[in-house]
Parts: sequence; structure tokens; C-alpha cells
Amino acid sequence: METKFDKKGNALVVSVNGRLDAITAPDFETECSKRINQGELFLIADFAELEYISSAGLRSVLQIAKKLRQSKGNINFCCLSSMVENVFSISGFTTMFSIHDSLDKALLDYER
Amino acid sequence: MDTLRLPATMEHLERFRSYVLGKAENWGLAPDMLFKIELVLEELLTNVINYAYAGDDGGEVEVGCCLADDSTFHLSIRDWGKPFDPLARQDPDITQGINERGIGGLGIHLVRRMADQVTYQREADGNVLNVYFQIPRECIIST
Repeated sequence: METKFDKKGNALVVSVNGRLDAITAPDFETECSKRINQGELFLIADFAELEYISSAGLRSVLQIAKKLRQSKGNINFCCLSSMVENVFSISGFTTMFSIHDSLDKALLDYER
Repeated sequence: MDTLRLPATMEHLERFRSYVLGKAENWGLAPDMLFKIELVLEELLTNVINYAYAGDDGGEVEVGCCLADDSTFHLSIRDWGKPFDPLARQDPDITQGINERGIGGLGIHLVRRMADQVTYQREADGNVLNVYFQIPRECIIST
């Protein structure tokens, strides 16, 4: 799993390449937490290259969202594969979060 | 049923994963099915590591799988840890908001939704989970 961070306006886009499972999810959470501690408030998780997510990945996503909420920030998501979207949907994450089919739409979400 | 028995540690997740997925691929299961099987395997193995053995070193876990008939994939997971029935766990409330949502319980919720049948038995010296996946005709690429 690799993460790449890209600042676009107010938002920080985190692109995840690979898998968010019991092995890699803690790294993802640590990487994002570091950026949040540095003052980032608006994250966009670009999951275009995310191949797989398990409950460990969902837990890291939820922890990041909770941390952002504490500082009045937010996280939204874009470009989920059907597998990842299915797991999000079963877990109630599609109603809890804003999910977009493109990065542009996810960025617009923060401009409104 | 062919089985693979290894120490129950996170380092061995990948070995179990390639063992089960290798067989499932050989049996011609489509990516959709492979994904469900992979997810269920990870969730149940991490439960064994985190709860049945709860950080103890030295415990082992045995994973087996077979095609039960033309349309059922059978996955079996056995450990020798303390009694732990993941199915006894209540499903999380998936309608709660970000602040209210607890972080536990999602794994077994996913297992229940991905598999067609899951059974737990406490045997004399360990826990046995049997998981069954119905294979839709269109999910068999070649047999």
C-alpha cells in the first residue's frame, strides 16, 4: 500500500494505491493523522487505485473521520471500485460519508 | 479437505491468503467470489489472532477449503485458543453518525453479509468455524 498526498486549494487529496487490510491500515491511519496534526482539515480520499478494503481499513477511515470532526474538519471520498463501494455500503459508510465518482466532484464538495 | 496449519500471527496472513485464493482460482472462481472469500478469511483470521489467542504467542490456526459440491465453496478455520464465538457478537448499528459509531464489530458484520452460511462449534480443545459460499453459475469461469 502506498499513499500520496496532494494539496488542492483547501483540500488535501490522499491517493491510496494497493490494499487497506489488517497489515497496511495502521500505516494509512498514521500517515493521515500526521497531516491532520499539521493542521489539515479537509481530506479527500481518492480510492481509484485501492484494490481491497477490510474492516481494518474501515476502522482506520472511521478513526481519521472522528479525528477530523474534533477539529471541525471533514473527509470525503472519490473513485471507489465496485468492491470497495460494496464494503462501504454494507457497513453503512455510504450514508455516513460523501462519496463522489470523480475527484473534481469531491473537490467541488468543499468549495460549496 | 486440504489444510494449512501455521502459527496464528499477522505475518502469516499472506500465506493463508495465497493458499486459499490459489485454490479458489484453480477451481475457476470469478474475481467477485475471490474477493468475498478473501475478505471473510482476513476477518476471521484476525479475530482468531486478536481474540481467541488475544496476543498469546505460540497458538496455531488451521485453514482448509474445498468445493463441497459443484456450487459450494467451503472454508474451515480451526484454532486451539480460548472459547471465542464471533457469531455471538451483536452487529454494529450501521445507521449511526461518525461521532456515535463505535469502531468494533464491523468485521463479523462483513462476514455475515459476504458468506451464505457461517457456523461455529466449540470442540474439546478449540474453536471451529465453517463458512459456506454459494457459487453462482456465472462466477465459475472454468471447471
